[in-house]
Amino acid sequence: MAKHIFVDSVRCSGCKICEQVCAKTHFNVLNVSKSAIRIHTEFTQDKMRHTHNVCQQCGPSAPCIRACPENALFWDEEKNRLAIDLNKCVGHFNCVAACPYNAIYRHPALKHPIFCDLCDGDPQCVKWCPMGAIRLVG
Amino acid sequence: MEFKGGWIGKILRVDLSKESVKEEDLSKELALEWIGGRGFAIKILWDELEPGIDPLSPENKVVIATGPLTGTITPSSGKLVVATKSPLTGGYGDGNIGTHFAHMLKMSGYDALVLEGRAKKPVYVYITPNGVEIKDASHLWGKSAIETEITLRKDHGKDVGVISIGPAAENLVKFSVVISEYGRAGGRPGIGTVLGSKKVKALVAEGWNDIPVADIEKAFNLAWEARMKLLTHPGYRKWINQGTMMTIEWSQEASVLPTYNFSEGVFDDYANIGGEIMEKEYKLLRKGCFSCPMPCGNLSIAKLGKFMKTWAELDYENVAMLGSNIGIDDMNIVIKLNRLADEWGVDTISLGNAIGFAIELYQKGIISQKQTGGLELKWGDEEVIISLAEKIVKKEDIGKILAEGVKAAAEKIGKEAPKYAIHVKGLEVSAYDCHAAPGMALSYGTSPIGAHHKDAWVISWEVKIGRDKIDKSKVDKVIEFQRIRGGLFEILTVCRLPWIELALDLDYYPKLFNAITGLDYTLENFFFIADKIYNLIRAFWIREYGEWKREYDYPPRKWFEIPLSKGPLAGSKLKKEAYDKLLDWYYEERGWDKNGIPRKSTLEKFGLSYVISTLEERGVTLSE
Repeated sequence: MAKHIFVDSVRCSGCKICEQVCAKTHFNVLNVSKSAIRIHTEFTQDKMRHTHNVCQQCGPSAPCIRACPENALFWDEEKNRLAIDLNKCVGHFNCVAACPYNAIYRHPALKHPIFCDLCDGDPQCVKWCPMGAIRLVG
Repeated sequence: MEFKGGWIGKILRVDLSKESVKEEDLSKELALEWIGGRGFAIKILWDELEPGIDPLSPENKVVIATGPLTGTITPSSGKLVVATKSPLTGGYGDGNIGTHFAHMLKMSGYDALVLEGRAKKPVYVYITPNGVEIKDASHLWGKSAIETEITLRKDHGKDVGVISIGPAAENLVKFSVVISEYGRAGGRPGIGTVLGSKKVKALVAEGWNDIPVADIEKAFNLAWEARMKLLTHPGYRKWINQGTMMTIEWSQEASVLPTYNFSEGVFDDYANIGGEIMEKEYKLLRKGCFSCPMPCGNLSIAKLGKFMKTWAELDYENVAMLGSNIGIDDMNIVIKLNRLADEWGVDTISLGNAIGFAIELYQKGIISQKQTGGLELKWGDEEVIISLAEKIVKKEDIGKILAEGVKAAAEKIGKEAPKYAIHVKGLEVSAYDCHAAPGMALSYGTSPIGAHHKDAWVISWEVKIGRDKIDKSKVDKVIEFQRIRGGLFEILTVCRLPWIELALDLDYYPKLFNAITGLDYTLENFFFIADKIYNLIRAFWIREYGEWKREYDYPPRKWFEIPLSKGPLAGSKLKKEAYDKLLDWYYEERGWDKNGIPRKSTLEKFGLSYVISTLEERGVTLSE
């Protein structure tokens, strides 16, 4: 299995520092809605939990890759992760719906989808998570 | 004006009577001279409210304000301030709350929100960068605050920020709060009540805009440094395991744990409701505010008895007030009471106070079983306590009187009742008994919202340096803490706990502020603004009351009149002369006269000359 980000829901406190750092690293902005990792604090009458969505790096035949009509999304063998050719991507966003982990995002101000690129080996969310809840595994 | 960062530059105004919304520019003056949060709130309320209005009339306004550091990478910056003219005290009332609504409001395009008028039918306000809608909330009216949020998140998405009120606010219980995320509460002096009177059931924000920042590299570097200091602090582990709950054990040790309506400072079974047992037996999950590296939210679950599997978020204040103060020695019941309070949207501190007050009056024969609607009120009897709490929220029998707050209730009940009403200016005292803590009593006496610990939490310092001591150092400490906690943190609108609990250097705050806004402020600048805010808030109280007396700045009578009977400090009570001496020094330091009214020269020094004529028109005499 390719390396991917793992979030330990029991350790996570829902602070979204990972989201802030992700958006800063990739877009140089303060904007959690541009993050490739998403933390949610969900609750019902009887239960509360912190959940998350982040790319699981499914591999060369990932549903998002198969869903892309422009062949813009591809598996980068060298980096061993999902990648995108921005020259080919025209913004169908079929990948968003195709992802079984709900881990590809569309932002109203951006032309291309947002997904985890593992910060090319040095994931900043892992580094910044104060609870030690985020790890690179696989 | 264009801001380089921190502020968005817009204020949203929602007129509920006219069902219209308006976007205004955030003025340069408001931003640079009042900063945000509490600063915005008092300036807007002073400028825009007609003096002497009924807090529950459409003329009152609610200000919901973030600050320039809200929603940034600054540690623990997921907060906002809610403020209004308080229906509980008749003066200035505010509170802060950690909620995802805070950064979502900024990402929607607004620094603050002002709610005016009164809706004809229940509504909620839905805010996004695409527009603001006033939407029908008939289907939510009557629902618990928690259920309301669950429903709105289903309708608008699981990541939206929501603030809601519960049935207590709808019924105009005077100490109703706003609730967010399963039991974060804010606005003790009835900010929820005012929203209820305006028929605003909830606010929802969903934003996706960038929050502007002048120097993002610098801001992240500073945040990283600050984070490392917090994570390597020797107290970090215990803090994230227990948060403020460890204070139960500390307060017992120091004889300041409110017990039996603030009659004692020690509680025999404190360990059953303490931080240690919570961590081991009840805590399931940590809950952090936005951007907080030291989460203190203790999501806990009742394990035994009829309330098994009930969830609530616990902290010191709400556990002490709905535990030892009403004689409850079982965490399972404390959890249930907290959950009920959060569903009803009623302040846990004032609720614990009102219940304790009623039990004490009943035990002393001041109120009868007929008045309680048949309830035989006893310390620690969870069944009658839950029934009494329900009566308060529904305003039935004695509950109708208690729902006005203990000050008004005591006046109505008469006889000896005022002696047992634990409040300052009508706001019930939070969880520190001050029979033997004159400095903390001064803090409660001079807090700008009535008896609350948010501003000058000097108790731990006072216990260390000697509680009997009466000297100027206590007054200096109260003012220092009011500047830092009541000023700096309330206007930047970030949490004070990294500083007070894990010793984060205060200098990080101007550094982060300057990196984020591109300005050049020092701590001294913020303290000047803090003092200015204190003067304007004081002027607001005087304007609304039309007079001022130093008695209004006194702590509850009980602490002077009835000594502690248990624990190592048995026999202790506050001394009137000693308190008066502290108060005189305090007034002098603040530049206020012997009645606690700001002098003209003081107001002029802070650029508040416009206050003078307003107060004089209200018949108040100001000294030079």
